[in-house]
Amino acid sequence: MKNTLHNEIEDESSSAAKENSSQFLTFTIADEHFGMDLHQTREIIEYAGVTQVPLMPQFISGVINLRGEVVPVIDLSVRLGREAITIHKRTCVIVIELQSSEQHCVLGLLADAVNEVIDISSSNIEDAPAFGAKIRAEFIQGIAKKDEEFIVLLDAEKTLSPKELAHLVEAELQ
Amino acid sequence: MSLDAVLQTFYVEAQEHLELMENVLLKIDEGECNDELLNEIFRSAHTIKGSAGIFGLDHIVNFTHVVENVLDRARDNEITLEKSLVDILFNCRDHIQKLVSVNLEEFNAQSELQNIGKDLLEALSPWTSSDEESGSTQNSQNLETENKETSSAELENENDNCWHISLRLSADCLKNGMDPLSFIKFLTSLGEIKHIETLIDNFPNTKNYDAEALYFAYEIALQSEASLEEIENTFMFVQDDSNITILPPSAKVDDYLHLIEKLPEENQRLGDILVNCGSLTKHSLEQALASQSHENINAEEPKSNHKLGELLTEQHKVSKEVINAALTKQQQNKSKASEGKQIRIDSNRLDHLINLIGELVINQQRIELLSKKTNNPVLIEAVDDFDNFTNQIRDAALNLRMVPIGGTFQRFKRLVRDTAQELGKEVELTIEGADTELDRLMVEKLGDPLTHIVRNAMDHGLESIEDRTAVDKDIKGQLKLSAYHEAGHIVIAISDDGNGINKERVREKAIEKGIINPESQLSDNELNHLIFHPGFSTAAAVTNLSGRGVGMDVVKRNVEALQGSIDIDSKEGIGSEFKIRLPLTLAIIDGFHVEAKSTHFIIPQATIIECIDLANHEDIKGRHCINLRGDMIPYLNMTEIFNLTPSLDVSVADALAQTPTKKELVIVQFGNDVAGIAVDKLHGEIQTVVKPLGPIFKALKGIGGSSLLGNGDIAFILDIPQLIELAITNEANNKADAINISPNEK
Amino acid sequence: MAEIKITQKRNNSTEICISGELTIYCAMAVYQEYFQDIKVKELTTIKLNKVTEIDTAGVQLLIMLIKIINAQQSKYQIESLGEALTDYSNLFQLNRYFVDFEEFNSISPQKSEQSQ
Repeated sequence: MKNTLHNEIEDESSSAAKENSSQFLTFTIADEHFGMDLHQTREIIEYAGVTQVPLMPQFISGVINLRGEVVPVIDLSVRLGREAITIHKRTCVIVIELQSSEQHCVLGLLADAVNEVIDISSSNIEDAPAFGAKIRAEFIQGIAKKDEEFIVLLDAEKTLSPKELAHLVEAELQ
Repeated sequence: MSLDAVLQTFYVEAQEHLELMENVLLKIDEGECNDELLNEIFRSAHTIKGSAGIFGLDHIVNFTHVVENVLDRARDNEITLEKSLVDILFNCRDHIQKLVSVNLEEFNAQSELQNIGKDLLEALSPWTSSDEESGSTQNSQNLETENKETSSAELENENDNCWHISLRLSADCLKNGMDPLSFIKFLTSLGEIKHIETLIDNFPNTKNYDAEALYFAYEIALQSEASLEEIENTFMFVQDDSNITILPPSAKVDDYLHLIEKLPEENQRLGDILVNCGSLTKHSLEQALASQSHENINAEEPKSNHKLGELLTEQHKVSKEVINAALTKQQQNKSKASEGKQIRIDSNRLDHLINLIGELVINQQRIELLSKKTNNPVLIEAVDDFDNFTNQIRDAALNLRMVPIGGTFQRFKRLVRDTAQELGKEVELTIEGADTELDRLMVEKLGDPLTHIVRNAMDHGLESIEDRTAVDKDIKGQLKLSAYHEAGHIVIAISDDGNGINKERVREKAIEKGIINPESQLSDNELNHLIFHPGFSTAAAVTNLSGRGVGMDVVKRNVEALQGSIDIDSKEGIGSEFKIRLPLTLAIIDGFHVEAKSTHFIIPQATIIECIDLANHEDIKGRHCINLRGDMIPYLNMTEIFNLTPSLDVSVADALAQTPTKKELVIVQFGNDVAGIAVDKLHGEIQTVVKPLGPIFKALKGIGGSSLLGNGDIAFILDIPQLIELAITNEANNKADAINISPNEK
Repeated sequence: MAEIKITQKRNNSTEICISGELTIYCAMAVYQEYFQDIKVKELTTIKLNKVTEIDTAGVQLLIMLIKIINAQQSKYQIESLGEALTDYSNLFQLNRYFVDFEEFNSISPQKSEQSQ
């Protein structure tokens, strides 16, 4: 297996059980900061190349072998309507697990860097602005501010719904 | 075993017995009727009733009891199974099936179901013996035996059919939802409980009392005509750590003494209880206990209690042997019956095993790869042996999941019978190749498509009796279900000798529905395939069986989901044949590893005919077509079809090395189609585990799944039929022809 | 869920009134809450007529209760069995434990059998 290096993210929900706050994993894509509900993330692995799947739209970077499991890797940047991510030495893959949709689905997301796990109390989360974020509003769960920087909290269920992705693939193939 | 698990066993068994009943009824319906069949169906009904009784499923018991009664009378030749009764029995069987699917509460809430039951019982009434009658005979019998018992109290075991049952059930019994109440209730259905002694010796002190544990123990005297097996079956769902002794009416004193010895309670007390039960007489007990104390004195051993049983058994040695012989015989009979029986395994566990073996196969390939690099002959040889065993394990494991198609076919007998009656047609169903084995997963998913095709064949294919007479055909329509192996696939064929597909009407209909243009020229085969188009139906009159215009397209989709294909062969006036081709298994395939532009592909081995060097063959008229020993073979280029560009990971040098377009051609066959697949490199045979690509890639045609290679790389498994379809679509799109049917429409 | 009412009466007697479903689903709770540390007086009257459903766990609970009562040198009498218990008792031939006081004066189960 080539992906031997992976850092498990410790679930520290017990230690930081502040009221009405949730934990987010923050990461960076092209100098923009994003956050994702920690409970949806499974692990972070080093990017070691992907196997391209023929005829796929650009947002599907390819598939990887994650300890015997074939996992699709999504270029989140393309999915959010931006340029494709530039692969470099420190590019990593955030492995997430979506449960609520009809079936459980494991996906990898490309990111330039993974920053930290932070607690954000709900009072510090603002609604997504209707415009200006250059990201479709329904993808955004909210915007948080930390150290004078904005963090876009993504709604993984909406952004990465397997159903929606499958539709996009179908559209591409026609 | 938890109650749920036990109930599950009950449902599975009930289902089996219901299937058995159906098969017997079908045979009887066809005119075959003998004692064996009647016994078989009676036993099935009886077992369903019995097991349902254990679980207190009274709605099943009450209804099935009457059915059983009728079957019992038929068995005793009191009544004959005439056609009208068989029809009712079919309905009764179906009703029991419905009853099994609901629990008591649900049943009580469904007045419709209750009414159906009442109506059926009403319909059965001419054949039932009145309940009062049987009740009264039973009563008089009881009186008789009671009299006998009192008069012959001195003579032990005078009563011929008084069983003694000693129950020390598992303490967890109640927690698992098994209440002894249900056993005792069930025993009353087998006979009369003469005496039951509830022992409370095992109660602990107040501190240790667990209100959910079972402390009661039971000694039961049951007067019954039932066989040992029937009585034993009462307790078949009880946990293993229960201690149950059943002594037949013929048991001798020492058997009882042995029992006393075995049980944890004090001997004298147990003896009294057995006397209370009427199972032992005071006299024989005194005798036995006397010899115990006698022995005690002689041996001067305070703990000789434990030896008591043995000693007494010695005394009665002869009778003991007789009984032993009898018991052995009974056991032999039982083991004979259980031969050919099967173990039930949770299918999830089996799937898990197969997944693990899949991983084993991958790892084995990795080891093989590594061993070859070492050039160490001894190691390579050892790995070869390992390879051999891995394959055997794989095959054996896959075999576990294979089930014969026969069971599925069998179910169609009933469908055909009922449908024929409904349509007023006469149909004879023949079944061939029922032993052909298929992956269980596929068998489950085949039911629906097969049902559609069979209904369709009976509804649209086979003509009415008048029409058949008019064209001089036997009024009995022929329908055949067969299964066989063909080139690494399994073929399931459904054929009829009906009217065949009326191609003109198909054409008209297709034009009318806007599926094809009036000008389009279609081959017969293409016309036939139009019936798989969504929303296509040619039936002039819409019946409630088929003809709603859904069906055949669903059939096709279901079959494709199993990585199979469906074909029609139809001749007007002579009949039609549907052929469903399926892979042998879905979990692991034998494949051929090829590469195109650094992308790895696996071609299912079963589809491959040969590999040739494309450089030695020239394209015919600039088309992707070659002449192979006189045959025109179209081929498709992987690089073009999948629009492949060298992967980012490949260095420029590698990419350059591949530029010379020396192509290899793999010739594949699927159904009647032969085609070539042009690739860059052939890597050789490989065994591989199918890893589904997941819902996101559902729309991707031509790739059926993915697989891990020995070195951890991912390869794509080609779906040959889809690939051929894809090539045809591309071709069709290139030709600016009028045809606008595309197999890819969904 | 069964309802248990324990009344200590002035005439040196205790009345235990059980109603509802006395089954395994509540046996544990009933035992721990009411019976395990129960103190009874010279005479204990058990009223069972309002027991609507009883299973083996429930009957065991009653037997245990009787044992506890016996251990405290109290006599017990059962006042009206109720249909559910009557059925059970008939089937298992337990009448010597569950005798309606109306028909029979207080009877304690055969002590010889219980003392071990």
